[in-house]
Amino acid sequence: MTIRAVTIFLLLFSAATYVYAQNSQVSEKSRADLNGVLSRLEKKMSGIKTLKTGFVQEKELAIFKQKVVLKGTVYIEKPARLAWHVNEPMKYIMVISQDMISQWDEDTNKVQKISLSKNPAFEAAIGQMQEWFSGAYTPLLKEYEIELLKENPASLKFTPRAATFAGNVIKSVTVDFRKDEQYINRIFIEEKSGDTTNLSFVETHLNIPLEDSVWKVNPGAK
Amino acid sequence: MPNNSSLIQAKENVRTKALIFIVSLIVIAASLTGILFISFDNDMELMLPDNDEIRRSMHFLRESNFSDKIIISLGLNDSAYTETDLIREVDRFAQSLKPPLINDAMYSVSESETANEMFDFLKYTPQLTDEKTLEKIDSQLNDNGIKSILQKNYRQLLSPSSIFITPILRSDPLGIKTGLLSALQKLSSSTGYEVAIKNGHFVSKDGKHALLILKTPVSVTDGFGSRNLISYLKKEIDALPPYISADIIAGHLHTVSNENVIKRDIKIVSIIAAISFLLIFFFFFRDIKAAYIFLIPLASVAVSINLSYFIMGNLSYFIMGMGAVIAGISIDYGIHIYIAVRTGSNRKEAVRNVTRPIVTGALTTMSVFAAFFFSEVRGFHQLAVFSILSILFCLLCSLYILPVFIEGKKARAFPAFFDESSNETEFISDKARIFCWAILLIILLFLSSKAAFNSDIKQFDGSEPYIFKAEDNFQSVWGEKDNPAILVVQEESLEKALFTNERIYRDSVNRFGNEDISNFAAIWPSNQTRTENSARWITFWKEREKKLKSLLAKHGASYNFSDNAFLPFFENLYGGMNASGWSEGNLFLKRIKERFVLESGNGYQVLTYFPDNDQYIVAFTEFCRNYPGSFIVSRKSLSKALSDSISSEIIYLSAIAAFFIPFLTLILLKDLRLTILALIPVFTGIIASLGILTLLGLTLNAPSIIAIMVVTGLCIDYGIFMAYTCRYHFNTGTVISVFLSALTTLIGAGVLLFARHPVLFSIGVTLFSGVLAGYMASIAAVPSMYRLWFNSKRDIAT
Repeated sequence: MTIRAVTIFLLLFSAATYVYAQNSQVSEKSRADLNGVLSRLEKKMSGIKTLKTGFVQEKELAIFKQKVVLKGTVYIEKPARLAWHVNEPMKYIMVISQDMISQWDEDTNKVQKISLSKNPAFEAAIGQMQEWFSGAYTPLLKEYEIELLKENPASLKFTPRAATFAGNVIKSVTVDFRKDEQYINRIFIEEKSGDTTNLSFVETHLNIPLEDSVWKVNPGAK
Repeated sequence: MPNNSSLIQAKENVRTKALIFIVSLIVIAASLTGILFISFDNDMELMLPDNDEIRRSMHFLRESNFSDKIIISLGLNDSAYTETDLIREVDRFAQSLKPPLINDAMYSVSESETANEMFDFLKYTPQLTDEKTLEKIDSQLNDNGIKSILQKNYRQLLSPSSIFITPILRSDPLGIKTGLLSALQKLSSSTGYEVAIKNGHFVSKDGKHALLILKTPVSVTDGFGSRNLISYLKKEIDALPPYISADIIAGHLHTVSNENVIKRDIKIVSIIAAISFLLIFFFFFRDIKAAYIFLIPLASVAVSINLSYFIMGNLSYFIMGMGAVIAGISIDYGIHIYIAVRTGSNRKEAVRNVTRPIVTGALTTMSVFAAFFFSEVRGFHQLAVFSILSILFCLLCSLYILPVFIEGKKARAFPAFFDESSNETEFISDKARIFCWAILLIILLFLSSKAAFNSDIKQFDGSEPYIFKAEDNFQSVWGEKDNPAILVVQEESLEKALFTNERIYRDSVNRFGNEDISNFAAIWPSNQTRTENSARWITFWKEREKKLKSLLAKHGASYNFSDNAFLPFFENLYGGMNASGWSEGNLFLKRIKERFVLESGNGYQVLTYFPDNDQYIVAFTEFCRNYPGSFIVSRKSLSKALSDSISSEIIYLSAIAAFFIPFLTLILLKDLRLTILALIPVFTGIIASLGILTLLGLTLNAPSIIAIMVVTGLCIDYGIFMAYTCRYHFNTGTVISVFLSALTTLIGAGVLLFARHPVLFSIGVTLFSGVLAGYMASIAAVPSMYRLWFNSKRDIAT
């Protein structure tokens, strides 16, 4: 009886140790895989100097009565220029250059300039968005748990840690890369409120010369 | 064969000499040993006038925590390494810094936590929204106003950052919190540096430098502590990899460097002076006993340092730096006695012949230093005590001890130039001399009229060049703007201080707008005001909540906004009303508060930062008048206060010296014409000092004013001796004595030209030029003038 009990205990102990060891190995392996993927993506995207890509953004937000679908083009020139041209449902242009944001929309036909340093909420929001567009995700490890959903092409799921800025708003962000992993294919954001935003990139061109006009908001504006 | 009485007399003399020698040696040895135990002070305050405004500003700067912070800028100096390498080293370096010398290292912030803490603060919006803002909101609560607001919000939602902006827009559709966030952002970034936050670190715009702000318990005025602190930091910096360079920006570095420079200067100056003095005496006298003349001022300075310490307490390095100059002055009396005894036929008679001019000279010189007792500068009092004691001690030794050791015998021949009997000159030659002197004087007078006074306290900073270079590097990398001026509100309680501060903020914003003014009231007024704001907010929204809801519903539909689009705003409309204060756990706010609110021994100080220019200073000075207990700390106004104070002091002290010198000279010479002659070198010396300073592009400052007064004291000695000799023709070797006196003083002053410290250098230039000109006037102009003025044979003979 005693021998049997000891044997069962030993078996259970061995099984538990085995399971623990397996879990540790899996977790270490997945961490190593994740780090490998993040480095690989960073390396591939670090070669991007300019980018022009079409986008379709579908917003299902509680603030809106109906789903909003934005279509337009994004232009990025490293290190610090980004232009966001929306063609539908209304024409809207936003250009970020250094510390300044210039906005124009066809409804008002007015150009509005905002200094990022004087508009901290906007600055924080823009900063977060630029992080997603950059593809350099290793620094995000401080604020997000990152899960490798698929290795090749990479698909990553970011869950914000508690008590972080993003953690107040975002439930998760999923980023899918295109086949050659040169750039992002889709960013899907699920907010805590239940709002979702799906941003798909189409017709992406890397390292092409960008015309000066893309950095200008409507010259006919008031 | 000598008789018994002569033998007894000789034995007695030997015994007396031996006794004096042994006592002197003991006194000198004890004094030199005593110096080792004296604590010297390099506190600049000692050299500043005891003026209320100056004292308050200096006290504030010393007591506030500004000067006890250290900034370190780490930079990449190898392009093969990246920002990631730099940040890794910043982390490693910061973690290596430990108490007791470093209490805290601020080198990283969590962007996310900071944003969180900033947004957390917004819950206090009701108590931070003033009447004016509510009036503005009220003016927007109509069809056009709300339509325009919704249009703007819709546009924000089209931007790529809309995910993060949506919750803000939902909880603040009218943008009430935006103003508060901007104020918060403005105060948090009003450090004057151009810093970007990258990976949570303070990184320069070029991405090649990172900033660390260290807190230390070591006071910047603590020389010993500063030395330990700097050597600790340097040791840690040495452990950085070769591709990382470091610039330290700290007041402590200046403390240590100034001390090093002054110590080195004093050492070099003393060595050069000692060697030069010895060479002069051995060259001119070739008599080992001439070394006594050198020993007397040395002993006098050593004894005086000890006595001054007992009288005054801690002594300033600046004043001790004057030791060589004082030695140069006080050696003169020994020279006159030595030469008189050696050239005269009778020791007693020789001493008697020179006693009167020596005592006159010593008294006039002491009177110049005595004038410093009337100064408001505590350092000048030390200078007065130290100098008068040195001169007095040296005078007594020269008159009563030195003659005991010198034997009278015919002096060896000096060059003809020094032979007073051969100094018969034709009148034409005298006129030519006076003409040359007058021309030179006119030129110097013209130059001296352009002398400028510099009151900037920075000029007294003699730190080594690498420190200024590091500060220039720092400025070019981090774009540090000019230091702002500070208005300090001092009250016994925080609430009172905040209340006064808020009223000053209101006045200043009404006058200048809030662009250039950083005031804590922009984000946190007094408890009383916040309570009033909360009450006003409740009344305001109770009356308008329904109206706003209906306007949003009416116009929101055309922008696709849902019915509950702005529900979070209405749900939290009456939250955050507790005016007791924020949580100290909010580090972001705590750090802002640290910059603006200081707890002092007798209450609280709340600070306002504003541009340090005349327009602002004048206006803020007016504000201060309305709020007793508030005051301004500004480098520019401190300079102005110093300038005003020093200028009035110079006039005052000069007037005292200008009275004492001719007065004493006249009493002791008992002849008005002779007194005027004796004053010629004084006048020439002053004009030359001012003129040469201008010629060299140097400015007049407090130490150079002291030096000019010393020049006055020295030149009157030369004038008295030359006038006395012209008048009485005693065979006391006056020309050679005056020459050697001037030479020794010129050496004492000249060695200061080798000093690195600007204060000592400035003293050196002033003394050297003044004494040289004064000496030249005394040997060239005074005898010629005497012969021309007392132009009858009888007059000269008399």
